Amino acid sequence: MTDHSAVGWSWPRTDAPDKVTGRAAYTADLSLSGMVHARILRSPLPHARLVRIDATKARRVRGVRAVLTRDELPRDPAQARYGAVLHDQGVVAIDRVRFIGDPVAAVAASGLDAADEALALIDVEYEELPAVFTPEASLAPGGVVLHPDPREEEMPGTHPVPGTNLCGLTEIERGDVARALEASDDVIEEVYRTPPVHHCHLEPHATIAAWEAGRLIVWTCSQTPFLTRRQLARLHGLAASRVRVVVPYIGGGFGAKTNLRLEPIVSHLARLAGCPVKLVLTHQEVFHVVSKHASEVRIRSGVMRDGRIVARDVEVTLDTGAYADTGPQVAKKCTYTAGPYHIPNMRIKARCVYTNNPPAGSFRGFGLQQMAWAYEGHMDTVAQRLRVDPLDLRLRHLYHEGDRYITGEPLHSIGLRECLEAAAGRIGPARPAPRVSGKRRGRGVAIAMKGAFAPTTAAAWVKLNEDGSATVAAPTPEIGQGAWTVMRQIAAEILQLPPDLVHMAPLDTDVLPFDDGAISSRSTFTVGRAVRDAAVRVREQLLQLAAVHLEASAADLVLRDGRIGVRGADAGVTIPELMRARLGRSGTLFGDAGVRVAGGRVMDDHGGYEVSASFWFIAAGAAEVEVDEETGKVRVLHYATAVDVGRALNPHNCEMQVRGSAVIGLGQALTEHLQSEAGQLLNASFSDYRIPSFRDLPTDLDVVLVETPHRDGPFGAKGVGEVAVTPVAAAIANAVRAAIGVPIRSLPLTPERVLRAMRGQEP
Amino acid sequence: MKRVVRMAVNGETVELLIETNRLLVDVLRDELRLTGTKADCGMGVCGTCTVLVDGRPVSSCLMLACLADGRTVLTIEGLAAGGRLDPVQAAFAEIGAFECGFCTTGMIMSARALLNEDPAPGREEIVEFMAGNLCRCTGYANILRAIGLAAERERHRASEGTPAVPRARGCSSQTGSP
Amino acid sequence: MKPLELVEPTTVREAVAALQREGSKAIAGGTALVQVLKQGLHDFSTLVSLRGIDGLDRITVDGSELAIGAMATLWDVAASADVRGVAPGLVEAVRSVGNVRIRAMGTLGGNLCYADPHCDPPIALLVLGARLVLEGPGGRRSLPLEDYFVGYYETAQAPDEILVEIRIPRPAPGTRAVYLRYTFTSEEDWPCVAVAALAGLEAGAFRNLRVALAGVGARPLVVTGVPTVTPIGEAAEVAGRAAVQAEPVSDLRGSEWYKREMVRVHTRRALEMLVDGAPGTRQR
Repeated sequence: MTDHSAVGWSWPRTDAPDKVTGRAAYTADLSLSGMVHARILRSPLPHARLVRIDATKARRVRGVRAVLTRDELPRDPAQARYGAVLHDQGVVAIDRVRFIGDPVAAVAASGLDAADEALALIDVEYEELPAVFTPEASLAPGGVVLHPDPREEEMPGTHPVPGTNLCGLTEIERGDVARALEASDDVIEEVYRTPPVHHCHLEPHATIAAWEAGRLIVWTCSQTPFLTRRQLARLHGLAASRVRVVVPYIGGGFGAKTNLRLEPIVSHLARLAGCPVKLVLTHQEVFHVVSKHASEVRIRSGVMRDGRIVARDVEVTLDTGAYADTGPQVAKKCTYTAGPYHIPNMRIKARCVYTNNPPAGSFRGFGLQQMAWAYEGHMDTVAQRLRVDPLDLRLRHLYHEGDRYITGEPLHSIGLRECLEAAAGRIGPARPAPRVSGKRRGRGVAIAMKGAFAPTTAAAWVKLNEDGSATVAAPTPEIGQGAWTVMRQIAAEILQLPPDLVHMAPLDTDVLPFDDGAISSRSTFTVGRAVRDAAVRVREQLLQLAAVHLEASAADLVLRDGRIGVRGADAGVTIPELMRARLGRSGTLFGDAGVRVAGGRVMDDHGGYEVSASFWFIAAGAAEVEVDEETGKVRVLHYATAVDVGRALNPHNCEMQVRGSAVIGLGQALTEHLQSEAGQLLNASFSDYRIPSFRDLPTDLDVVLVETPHRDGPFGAKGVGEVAVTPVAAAIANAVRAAIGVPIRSLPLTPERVLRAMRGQEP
Repeated sequence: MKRVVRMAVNGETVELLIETNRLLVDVLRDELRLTGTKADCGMGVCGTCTVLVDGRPVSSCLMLACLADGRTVLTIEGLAAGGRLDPVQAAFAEIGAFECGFCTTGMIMSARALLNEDPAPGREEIVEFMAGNLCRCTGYANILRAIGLAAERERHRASEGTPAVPRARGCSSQTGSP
Repeated sequence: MKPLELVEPTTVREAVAALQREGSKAIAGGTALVQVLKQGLHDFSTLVSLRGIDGLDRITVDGSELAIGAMATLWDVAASADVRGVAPGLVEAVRSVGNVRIRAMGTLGGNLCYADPHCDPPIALLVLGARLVLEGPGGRRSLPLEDYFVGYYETAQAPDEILVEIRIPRPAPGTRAVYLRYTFTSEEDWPCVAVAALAGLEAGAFRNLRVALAGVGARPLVVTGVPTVTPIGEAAEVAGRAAVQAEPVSDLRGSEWYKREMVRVHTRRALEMLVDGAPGTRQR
């Protein structure tokens, strides 16, 4: 790049040496002296009262060090339950089990065989309760209530309805939807559905816990180490600082490794066993931890004959399974997800519903995948009804810089048109697709806009070491997204250092400042700002020292390649020389910074508005598909995606994030569906739940990075990770619709569903 | 029941007294502390536990360690002979053909096995050989590039040329064949 | 995993003797068996490894027959020029099994013994008219492959018998073979439906046409009632016959209705490929 030495080009990833040699240590690779191993006993029933649990025989098994049942938990339910939004989940089952796979007990033993033997000897008596497997059944009057007791709120504001299975109910409205619908020339109504799908991160959940002098130390694959620490501390009645969370490399998460996962069970086992305990889930267990919400989105649009969409009414229902997890927050986020179009009257209502399915929670996109699936399919229906080109309809309605969102907040840095035109342009003009015998071809587009959550805070520090290198302490986990490379680039840019002279401090909550974690694509924008500001403080100090040392004005100093020179003069000094000269042999320069990104209610002359997003990032997708007339199989010939990243600090990393996200979207569009029957998962393994392989890629997959710099982002950067997954399914489905002439409103687009649609059968 | 198992692991003969029901992946990770080999699906589908046994790629999660007796095992730790990266490792590092890294060591071992079989694989051959190694992060394209680059370099090396090394710089916007 | 004993015979006779002991089970490549061990739902305590038996992995060919030792790995079978020369359809089927690691570990004999009706190689062997050589305490016997598969994961092999060899008669000159595989989800998945077809082509007709199906019944199915001489124009009738005879069940890879449709489509396509002379391919 031009004026920057470290940002804007593809620095080699700094984790490459570790990752290509196998040295990179993930949680399961760690081993502590005296450590024992844990296994979980899981419920075979979808809903039952726990009548009796007897672990006497299990405790006698040779090698068993601890057995955890409800009897070993604190009597106070507040200390035995946890949850990201509501404290509804027992560390192990307390009074009931609520899904097939619900942890009932856990054993720590010297070896896994002993632990398994002990599990088999735990005697559990259940009294089966009626179970519900769909939101519809769950909300039917007079039905079973999964969580009759009141639950404490970890995160207020999602409005659970006591005495019902509604654990989240939020609504938002701008304008007057009822009146606008009434005044519309036509109202178009549709229902779109998505099934539960799984994250399929390759690293299974893994946690090690140990107690040392009354402190709890946890090594765990958490995307949110500080939320994990806070929630774990509450559970054990400790001050947050009495819990230390260390996060090694994480083998992917996509939202599945947020808040608390294995940490409650493992920390209790470690307490009971008096030694470190390690738990690594089996592959099949991982499918029972958390998934993406199945959704139903009912959408009604009021349109005018001149092609304007004037009103939209949306009702979202999410199946969050047996425990709320982040579900109520996802539902709330759905109400903040109004789409990228300026529609003057809009209402969104979202419900989050308990069922006896395995829990659902955060997944890349946090509700936007489900919403974009509905909005963008619906746009093609509206276009068809209005007899206009789907791309033109979209372009006509896109928001512009400064427009007010459904929350009233003004929009900034939204490269919507640029993304949509770039993606559509790659697929080619909307000419008729070529005819191939036995195949039908079609093209489609979709676009989605995500707000990274607000409010949020971040802090970081940077120190300049006596050898002239810098160490960055930024509290964001390296989960594969390349955050650590980008943090180092930002510091290197400010301090004008080469890549090998910028180090990263390990992720340890004892050392680092609080952070919300590697979620919502927030790391670069939020933590990156803190790193930038911290590095600027170091740089200021450095230049002050240099000014004294070189007897020059600070304004005349030039810092480049580890050396400070004076403009227009030969004088200069390297950073280590300067530090030795001014600070002695062991000097360090230190800078820290905190960033607070505002959110919530903001007052203005018009009565105020709500800030829901710290920044907006956008992805458009365009697909060309070929459908086999005889089998219904969809082949994606070409998928092009354009993502507005603000500023690409590391184009290669951005591309990797976008491409990977797009391929997850491809899997969800065509094949992925976590299936169950009466609460029993049917495909809880990679053998039956197939994610895209090398063989399943589109013939061409283009990635375009659009740069609409954000005024607050470090060097204009925004987030990248999540958004590219969100338009994929709708773009492909719109292409399929163009090919076969009928819409499909449920995912995935399996060959059978497509074939039935082509034949006019109910899919 | 325990048995003495002798195998050549990464060029060194190891002799272990192990239970016959232990899996090779567990023996490598737990007994020999070779944790670069990862464990995930446990059913031979994901490829994270790929090691080479007698030169061929196997799922170490499906191999009883006692049946590796008398055989040669190569893991990711044995690939960088004398601290020098194997061309496949070097290509993955240079291109940045990974994200979370959990699939990477298995990918590299499979790619190594491929290039041992076929020094000049085309895109189709790479895809067919590598298809059993799953990645959820990257969308695969850069892994294909890295394998192509490694193959090209090895061929150069074999013909005693100095390889021209394209640097991973800027954003490649096309899937492109390797 | 439950505790296990391991026996490593060096001859088939020793192996058969070892299998006499209660709780014994032969292990070949182990790719399927180890998964059974992990699930713990088995009643055997001794594994009889066939790996140390000399020559059990040999592939030989003569003027009349191709013989593949049961312990030949799928990798070796797929790479064998002898196999490709006699049975190109088998090569395609074997290359479709699992992934390279499974093929490097798994054996052709093990694949047959496993008797999963979704497996690729059995139907390619069925259309070739393959026979199996089994050895038990009473000596050797030869069994047509068609009589071997009994039901889901069930074969006509006695618990103390060992599969020694797969014998494939050399097809008449000019015989063409196709292996066509159709997946419902990822291309890496088990087939929803697979079709193997073999025939000579003469004067606009298939001669000695044999068609077999995988994934649509409790065992691999050979389509019956196909006339010795079937005009090429009647491919659709054969496909219809296959669809009627298929016994699919609804599961993750499609409903019963859909699978039957796919049998029809892919049988017809396989026959078209026979005419086109393509040696066999995955369905894209």
